[in-house]
Amino acid sequence: MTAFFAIVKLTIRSAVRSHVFRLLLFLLLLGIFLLPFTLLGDGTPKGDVQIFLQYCLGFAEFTLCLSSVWLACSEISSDVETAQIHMIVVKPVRRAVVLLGKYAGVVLIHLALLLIAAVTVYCFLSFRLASSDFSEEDRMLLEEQVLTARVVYPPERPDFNALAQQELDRRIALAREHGQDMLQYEDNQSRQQKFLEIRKELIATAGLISEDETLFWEFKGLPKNLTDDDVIFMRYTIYANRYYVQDQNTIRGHWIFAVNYVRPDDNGAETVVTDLMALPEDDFITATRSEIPVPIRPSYFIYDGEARVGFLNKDVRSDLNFEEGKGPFLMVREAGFFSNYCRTVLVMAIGILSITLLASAVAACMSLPIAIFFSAAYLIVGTLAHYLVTSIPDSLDFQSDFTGTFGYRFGDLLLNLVVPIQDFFVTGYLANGELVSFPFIGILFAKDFLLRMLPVFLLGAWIYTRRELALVSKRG
Amino acid sequence: MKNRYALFFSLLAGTVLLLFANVFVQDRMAVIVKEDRLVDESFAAEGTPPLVAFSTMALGGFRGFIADILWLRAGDLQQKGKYYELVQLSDWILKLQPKFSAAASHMGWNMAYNVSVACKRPEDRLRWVRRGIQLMQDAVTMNPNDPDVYNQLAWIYQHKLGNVLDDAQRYYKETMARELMFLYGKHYPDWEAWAASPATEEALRERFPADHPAWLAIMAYNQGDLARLFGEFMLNGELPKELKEKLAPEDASVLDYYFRRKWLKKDWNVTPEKILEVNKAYGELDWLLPESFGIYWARVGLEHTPDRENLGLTRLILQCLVATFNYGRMLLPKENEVSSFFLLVPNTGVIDAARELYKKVMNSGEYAHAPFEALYENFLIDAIVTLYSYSQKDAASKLFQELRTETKNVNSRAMTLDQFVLNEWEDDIVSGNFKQIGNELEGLLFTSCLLVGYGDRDAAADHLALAQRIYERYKQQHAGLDRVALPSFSEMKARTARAIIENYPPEIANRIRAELEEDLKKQEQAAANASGSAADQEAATP
Repeated sequence: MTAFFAIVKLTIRSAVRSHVFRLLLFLLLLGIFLLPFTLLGDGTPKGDVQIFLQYCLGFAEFTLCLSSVWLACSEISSDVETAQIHMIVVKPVRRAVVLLGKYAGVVLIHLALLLIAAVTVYCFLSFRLASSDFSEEDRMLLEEQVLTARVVYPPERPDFNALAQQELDRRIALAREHGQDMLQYEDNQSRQQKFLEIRKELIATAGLISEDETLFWEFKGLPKNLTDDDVIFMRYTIYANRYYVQDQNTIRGHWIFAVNYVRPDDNGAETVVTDLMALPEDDFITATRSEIPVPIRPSYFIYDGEARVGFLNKDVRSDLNFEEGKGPFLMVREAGFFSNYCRTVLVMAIGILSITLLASAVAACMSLPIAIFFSAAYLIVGTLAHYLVTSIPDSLDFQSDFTGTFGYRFGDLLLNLVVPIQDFFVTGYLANGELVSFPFIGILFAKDFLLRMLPVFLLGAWIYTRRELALVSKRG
Repeated sequence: MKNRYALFFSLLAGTVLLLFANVFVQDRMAVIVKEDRLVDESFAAEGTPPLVAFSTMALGGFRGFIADILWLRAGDLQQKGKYYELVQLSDWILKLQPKFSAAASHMGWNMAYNVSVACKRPEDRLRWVRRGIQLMQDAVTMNPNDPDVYNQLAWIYQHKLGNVLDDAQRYYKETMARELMFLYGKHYPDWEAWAASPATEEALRERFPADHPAWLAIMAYNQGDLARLFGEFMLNGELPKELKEKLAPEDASVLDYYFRRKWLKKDWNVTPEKILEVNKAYGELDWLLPESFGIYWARVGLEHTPDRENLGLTRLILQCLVATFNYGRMLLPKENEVSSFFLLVPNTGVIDAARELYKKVMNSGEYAHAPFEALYENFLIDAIVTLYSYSQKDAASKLFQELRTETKNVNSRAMTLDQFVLNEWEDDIVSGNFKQIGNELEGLLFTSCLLVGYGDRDAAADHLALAQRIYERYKQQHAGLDRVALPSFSEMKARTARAIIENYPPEIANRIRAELEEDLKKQEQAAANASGSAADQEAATP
């Protein structure tokens, strides 16, 4: 263990001497202090705080990731290339311990820097909030929508598979009954294709509302311990006409909320009476994400962890569509801003742990430039794969659009192989007042760190222990 | 080996020859570049903006790649409703790709139109429109010779702020007018005096040398800190009283104009010289209104195009002029004080400029086509009716002659001016239903009463006379049809006046009350009689 700590200490000392590390450190500090004064928000206090949080923390994380890649690569590779490694390996220290020690040294110094950056940004934000003269309305908006940690609750989703199977069975039965051509249902593949078509159609029309019709959504698993001071928000996007239509139009309609009253019945027992409360008819802009507070106290809105929301289409010109996966969502405060901030920093720390793991593994078996190139390429490929998958529109027709399908599948494949760096950038959640939950952090840690990065590191460590280091030094 | 040498020397000789030939075309190319404005004059004069220069040098070819990533991010965030990053991303994209004017136009338009309507509050909407305008102004700085960016900028002023398509359009106009009024100090500034005032600090220092009493007063006030003085000026809209008292009146006005023009440039990026030029070219514009700024930017754009010809910009100027003609003058209840009760009335001063531009467009071979002729004819008809309704019968008569001689309009040849104007209204009466005509009449009466309230008696009288004639004509046509009978004219007039008196500020209400006292009394009397007879009837009923 003494050897391990000695290597950690040596790595930290060597890191501090590195010019590139110093440059990155300088950039980090410069960025944290300068960014708040150069950022252009949307002009609202809420927008300014959001962009401050997103960019300052994002910049710190990005710089630290770069720095950790550089330092891990240089500390491990250059030791081998400059033959300094012989000073260590001639001592009774296992190579795995050397690698681990170097990894721990790089990680520790970056975690310390992360802590400094996080504390600085937090202090900056607190100072800014304390010294600004926001209006009462703006301050409330800020506290309710940004300086909070809300959980997003989606509505209950119909079982589209079961519904599609039901519909397919019905169509087959109908075709048989009418003696129609059964060719399209003959083999498994045709049936599967038909099933997918029906499923897609069901998903596309699940949120469709015709004129003067109302669609209700059920929410379950909502917290039961909310007080009447808590404000529940609802986020939604309405689309005009059909699925995947992105046009912005003004449409009319009402939001309807189920209100629950607990009243004693004739026998004196408590029964729940549910009533509907409609907001006044209003204009809505389609294809635009909106957020409104639910105008009912939580105790009346949520009963036994359940709530009900509806929308009445009063637009004479078109059907409306609430696309699957785009709301309405209920947003309920779960924790405070500081707690969410700490969780975000924790995710950033996992990012640094993971990226350093990758860079250490690569540096353990390659020369410095190749290790840096490989690590950078890995991160860029991950980033691009993420963009590739997210930039493909929802309306992609997998059957007819070959290039789109190829791009999507290729990006999807890459995403399964590499870890996109975006996974660790959760400042967007923080800036939007969304909770970075512990299950999410746990899954991220397990999926990206344990299952994808750790095996790469173990492979690198195995190669490191097997590598003929003297040969590399001699060649160098 | 010999062949290789021969090839090498041949290529070398060819290269030298081509380089030498370059001497003959270089001068011509330089002339073309200059004449056709193929270089950015502002960049040449002021140098490339530091951030643009830095990103160009530091990132090289990767600029495009990064701009693409930012573009994708901006699109993605917009779909998710996260607009707060949009301003920053757009700014970075513009700095990374300063010459990609189509991207800048799209981003400016997107903020002014798509993002603004996603907000409910008018102030939030206006904020996004302004962001769009700001981005377009940055794009103009980066692409001073690109007509498309001027077109987009002028379009946002004319269509988004000036038109009536947005629910918050009155708020936009009021806020813009309020801010500009504060900046100008009065509704119609003396642009010539503004233009004659020092444009730069150096010019001001020349005007006020170190031993000049005005400069000594400034020194005594704040050690000659002009930047701080400018800050105070923008805060109060005028020079600090303490300083003003120590300055001679003419020096105070020089300093006042200097700060105001600096402020105008800083916040609105326009200069009084250009405003003066626009006013001379198109007539006296109301510079509280967005259309004037639309004309300004379209004209500046035209000046930067080769030969000063561009279909899009010319159309836009025409569009702005027509809009200015229809509602290009802001009437305010109190002089030099903007309130939400502003009234937009025609600015007949731009008619000649609009006519000339129409003719120019129609006569130039490149743009001449039938729609412009039809548009011109419609414009003339509207102009005649408007001038007629606003006590300018001579001007209306002149245009009427033009309509007769220069267009294919048949009606005008067979009628007198009076008949023609009434016929234009009558078209609506004949084709319109009872409700539509009621609305038309109420509109005319409303305008007439409001014009009384704003002090324009002649125009009010003309509107009233026209309303009366239309009323009489309608009555004649629908005689005996109780189902579609209108109330008496004086009752309609009094009802409209009362509605305005109840809803408008006292300055306007008092003027209307004083002017229409008789009618109002009569109406009150009639109402009292009607309720009395109804009560009698009720009492008589068993």
